[in-house]
Amino acid sequence: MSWSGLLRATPDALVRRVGSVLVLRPLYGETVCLSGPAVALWEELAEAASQRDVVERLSGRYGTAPDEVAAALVPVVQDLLARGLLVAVPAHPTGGSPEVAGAALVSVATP
Amino acid sequence: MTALSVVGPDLGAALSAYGLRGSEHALPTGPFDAAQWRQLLAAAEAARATGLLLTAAEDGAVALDEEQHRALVAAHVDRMAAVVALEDLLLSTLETLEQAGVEVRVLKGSATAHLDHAAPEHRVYGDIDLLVRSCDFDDAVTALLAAGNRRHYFPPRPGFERRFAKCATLLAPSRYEIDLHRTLVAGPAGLRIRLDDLWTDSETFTVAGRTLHALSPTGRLLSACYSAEIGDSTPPLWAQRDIVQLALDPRVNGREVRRVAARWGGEAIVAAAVAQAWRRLRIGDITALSAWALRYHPTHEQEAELAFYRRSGLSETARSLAAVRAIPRQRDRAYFLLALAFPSKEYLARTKHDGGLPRRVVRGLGELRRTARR
Repeated sequence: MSWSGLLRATPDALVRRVGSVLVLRPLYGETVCLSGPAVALWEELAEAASQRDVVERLSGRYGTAPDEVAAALVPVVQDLLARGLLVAVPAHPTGGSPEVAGAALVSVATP
Repeated sequence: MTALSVVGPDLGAALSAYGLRGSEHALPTGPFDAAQWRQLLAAAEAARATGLLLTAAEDGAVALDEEQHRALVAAHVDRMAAVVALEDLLLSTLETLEQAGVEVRVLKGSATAHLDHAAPEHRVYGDIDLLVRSCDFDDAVTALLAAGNRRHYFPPRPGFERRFAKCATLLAPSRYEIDLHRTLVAGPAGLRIRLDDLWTDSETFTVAGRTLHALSPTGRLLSACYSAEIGDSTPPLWAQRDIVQLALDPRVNGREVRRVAARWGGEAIVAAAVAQAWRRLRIGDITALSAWALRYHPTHEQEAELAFYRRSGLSETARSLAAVRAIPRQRDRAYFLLALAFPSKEYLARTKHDGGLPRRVVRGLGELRRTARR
């Protein structure tokens, strides 16, 4: 299971932090609450990142095998993409700041 | 020892003052039994201070067990879910008004949450308040109605609101309220406000990547004072916290606050609001503004006006009728009274349920007479 390309948290989200819970709402969308590793995923994606980078960092943070982390993340990523809370970012060929692109650039593959 | 004696008599104020520089309030430290915890959580919810209680718990200032902490997080998540829904409505409303060519300032909740509090999570609010110029008022209402909102109240005559009303309250499809203001408060004090002063300066803040305009820090303090002192019969704690935070903010020039308040004939209102907030939140720090407020002696006329506004349950009609004195031109006064006495057919048709405006005017006059006798 994997996602391809770069993802980042949408800058268009309305966000409040309540203890270890994040209350998120995409513009004109529905409110969702994140907790636990989903919050860590959101924080990691404050900057555009690939699956490999995110899995590596979360694996280090939680002391869990990368495969397990990747398997746990995919449904969360799918859900956040569907809600418009994550957006796809094309890798910039010149190494400059990437621009936000349509979510269609990212595909989440499941078995 | 009873739960009440453990948690103290003005718990809401102690919670609202948490983290404020110079406050002499002390929060109960815990641990709390079930009854005490219920009382503490209820006080935090009533004072809209669940975020401050959570911060106090995270700072180690109050000791909560795991279950209490979970209940507090759940309570505050509910409040914050409402707040993000309101910010969503705020942004769509601003987009509608921008498309209609209407310039807007965001008042109260969202603006103060982002600009004046240590964290936006500390400020809970329940509606959105926007200020537009009187000349744009009708266009703004038309645009918001076209966008699917509906009116909560109807003006007695076309053009009445743009000249005399505090605001139009609209109900969004989500059932949240949008208060579209042209001035800060109803009645004579609202009509004395020099509205251009609210537009001379602004401060920006960002919500979901959009830049929004609020009043200047001085404007926000004046707005908080007016809302706290004469918007409600008892000043709400969250507004009193806004007042103290802004009054202690080095960006706010106390002399400028007094100068503008004097231009609006609102010195007694600002002094009373600052003094009450200082006392209730037990602020030990003395600033030039708080020292002036605590020493201020209102005139008999000012005292009568404050007493009028403090009467609980005072209807908007009574406030409107009291506003007649503050309307400077005789022609405008005549239009004002005529509109109240002979409202439009549309207005009468929509307000049948409460006897219509004529009955409300009679009730309002009765309230005014009772106030005058006190």
